[in-house]
Amino acid sequence: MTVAERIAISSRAAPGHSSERYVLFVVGDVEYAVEAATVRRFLPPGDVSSPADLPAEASLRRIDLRRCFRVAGGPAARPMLLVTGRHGMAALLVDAILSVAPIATQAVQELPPAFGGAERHWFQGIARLADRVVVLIDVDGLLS
Amino acid sequence: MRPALRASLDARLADGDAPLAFGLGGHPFAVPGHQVAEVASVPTVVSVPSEDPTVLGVVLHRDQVVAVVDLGRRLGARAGGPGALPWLCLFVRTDLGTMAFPIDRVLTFGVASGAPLPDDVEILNLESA
Repeated sequence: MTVAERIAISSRAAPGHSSERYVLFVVGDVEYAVEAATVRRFLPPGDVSSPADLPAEASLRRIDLRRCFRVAGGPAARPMLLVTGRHGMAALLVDAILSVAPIATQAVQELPPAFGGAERHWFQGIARLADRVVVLIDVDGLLS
Repeated sequence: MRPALRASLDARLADGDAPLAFGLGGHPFAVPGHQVAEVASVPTVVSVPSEDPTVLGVVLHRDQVVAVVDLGRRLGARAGGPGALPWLCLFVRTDLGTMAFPIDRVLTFGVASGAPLPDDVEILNLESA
């Protein structure tokens, strides 16, 4: 099944629940999610061989989340998420894009207070999805 | 250790606040029993990025997201981190909510007849961790 097919299937929100749609992706061994409303498009690995292949506005800024989050190594060719926020548009380099999925608002909780650095700007909070934990990206905070 | 803290916690001991003593990096430590929520094995930790290298990530424990903090590094008792998972974690009620601290092992829980802990055990106050 292609990423696009998985996204089409998993983006069907459960009726009767308050939820937001998120794009789920992986960096290192951690699963992250960003609000789907902030995502303009995604570029599969290999689609971009040079910055010139990017849309003009996105080529202005590229954020490697492995570098940002201090995660070593990683695949050579990685997909990108083009996101927009109050501070403009940027391309986020991630390891893999998983799906688009609804996340119930009641599944989200604040980042524990022990996290007191720049991460409080990067992340909206933590979502519990069944037996796993997903870190929610704050696009405005990340791009600020 | 600070004599005032030691005296305060020894007084609590006498009131039946049984401490939990544990080993960490080859050193014996103890926390007052009222601060201890649980000791449990943690099979997985989500490595949420943090500028503080002693904040190791979060664990989903009893339906709550709990921060995992490298107490050994904070105390200078263990340089290399907690090693391979699973980790034995001490869950403590702190001013910042419940936090999990990887430890090596539990030494004792409770002291008979309110007897003070041995002098070589460093008593920690983790409420303001």
